[in-house]
Amino acid sequence: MAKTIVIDPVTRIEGHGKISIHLDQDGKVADARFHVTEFRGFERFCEGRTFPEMPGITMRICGICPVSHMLASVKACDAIVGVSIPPAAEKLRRLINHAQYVQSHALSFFHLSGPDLLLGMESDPAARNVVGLIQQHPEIARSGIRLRQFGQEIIRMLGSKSVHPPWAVPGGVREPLNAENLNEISRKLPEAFEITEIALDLLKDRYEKFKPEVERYGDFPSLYIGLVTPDGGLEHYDGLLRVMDAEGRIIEPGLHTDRYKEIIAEAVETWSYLKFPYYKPAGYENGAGLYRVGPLARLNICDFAGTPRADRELRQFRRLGVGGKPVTSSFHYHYARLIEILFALERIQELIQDPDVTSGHVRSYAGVNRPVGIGIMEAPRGTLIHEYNVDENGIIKKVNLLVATGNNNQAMNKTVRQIAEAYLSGNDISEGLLNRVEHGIRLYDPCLSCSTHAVGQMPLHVQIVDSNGEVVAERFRD
Amino acid sequence: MADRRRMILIIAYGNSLRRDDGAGLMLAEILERVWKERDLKVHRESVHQLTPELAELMAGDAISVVIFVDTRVIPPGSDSLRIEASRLASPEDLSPGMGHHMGPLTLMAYARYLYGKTPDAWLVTVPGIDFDHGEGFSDATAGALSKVGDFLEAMPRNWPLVESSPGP
Repeated sequence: MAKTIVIDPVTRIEGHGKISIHLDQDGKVADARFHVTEFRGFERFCEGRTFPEMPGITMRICGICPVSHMLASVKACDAIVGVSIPPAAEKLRRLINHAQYVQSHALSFFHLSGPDLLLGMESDPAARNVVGLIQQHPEIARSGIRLRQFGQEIIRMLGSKSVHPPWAVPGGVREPLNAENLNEISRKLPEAFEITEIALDLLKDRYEKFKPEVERYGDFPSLYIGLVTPDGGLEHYDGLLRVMDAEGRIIEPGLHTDRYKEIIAEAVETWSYLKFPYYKPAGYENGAGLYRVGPLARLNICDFAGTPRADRELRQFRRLGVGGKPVTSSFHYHYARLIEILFALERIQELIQDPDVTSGHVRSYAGVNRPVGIGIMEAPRGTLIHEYNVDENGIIKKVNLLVATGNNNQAMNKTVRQIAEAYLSGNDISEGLLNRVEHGIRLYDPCLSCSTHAVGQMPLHVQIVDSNGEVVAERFRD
Repeated sequence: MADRRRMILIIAYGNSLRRDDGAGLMLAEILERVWKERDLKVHRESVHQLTPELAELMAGDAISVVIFVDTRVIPPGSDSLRIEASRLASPEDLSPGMGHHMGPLTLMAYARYLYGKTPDAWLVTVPGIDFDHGEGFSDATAGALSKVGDFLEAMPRNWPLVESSPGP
């Protein structure tokens, strides 16, 4: 008898995000679905607004990555006005983006995945929790907070407010850095580097322990998509779209971002509002066009990082791939995330020594010159696309947002399925299975907060439902 | 009489582009204004969602009480249309979630175990029923916000700076 297992995080908005695992009549995992029932309304909400409002509106989509939406949005607006922004403005935008990476990746590693990584997937549920983590490893938790604060402080310096900074504008930015802020960043950089190096050691020390997870947590062949610099380096703000296949072959070396629709198409499924983007030349059927974005993909597709410490780690990272092929296990998103923090810190160190970041010429001015603007950048969790169509008065007629979590949608579903296949035994919904499925999703650091927030925690509600709709097993976890 | 040297920390969270979800942010502004008019020391942080570094702020020496302000979901037709307040106890056990969600109890745990501080804490909520994209509040939420005075009147005298029993 076919059965369905539903893992439903009970959030304030019903169906905000849940997982169902579908079994066939033999009790084997037939499919897994990560349901997301929010987000797309934002595109309609933006229609009728003026395009300069878009950075301010779209950064309010999310409390964790407002800087990413702001930057993708202003890049689309830059394209509409058709200007090249001043060099100082680009460097300042890059600076705030690097700061965003530091705070966002630190949240993912230290605070969201920390309990699993430091306490273990199968550890006593009474101890494997946030309190357990901070009681056993208080210095690590405090370090994570300090690293986040470093990134948040730079965002605050530039944008006045650390969340939703009204700072980047079409044609540039509003304000440069001042000398006092530069000194403050410089003073705090050494500790940020130190914390990141400690986190890298900590993760590597535990790799042996997580060998089964490395092999079962989203370890499958896929395509990888992301931005690279014109010479193939790691890129977070601008650049060209590169596509790598599962064998490590570069099948698209560097496509101009305005042409993204030549390689990315969008499918929809009735059970989720989150889009299902795919690599267009390969098609959607049977997951042929499944690709991954984000830290793992970016480190796979780039030829080099371009900074000394990150390049040193990148060489070690590459050894995780078998036979010179890409690194395939999504478990390595953790490692890739830490390397990207290191990269961001090194870039911040370079930028604060550049006199341009205190330059007063930070904005170009122009009106509507083009009816379409496309802004693509790399958010911490992956490629982020904003596309706006405007009329001659700059009124938004159509918006298309392709968010990083959407780009990883197919991969997340496949990861959940792989974990369920490995760890689900009969109808036994064990604590370990729940932990692992949750961790499998967390590997991608999905941004589900693009809608409303949740009160408290997300208790799990697990159901096994047979083909007649009858609940044959059920479990709640607070 | 309340000790006016002590600081009330208001932490409000919500999304102001999701209708009633942003009602907590509005309520926090009202509470801040009322308490400042009473010559109390108040610091307000209005955020999209709760994040770990807020725990350090909560653990600050000047902070006597933390007021989390949020929207609570109520079903349409519910008669639970008042602003409500409940005292929060520092947790012993919390599980991590899948996304970026972090609740007041997690922050209390961070403040307690990382910074050795357990400030008195309350969760104040305003009812919400409409979480669609847009600005402005539903009638039910707007009605509740218009009765902040009644809410404060019903709370113990000098709340939140003095020890008090749970409110309405």
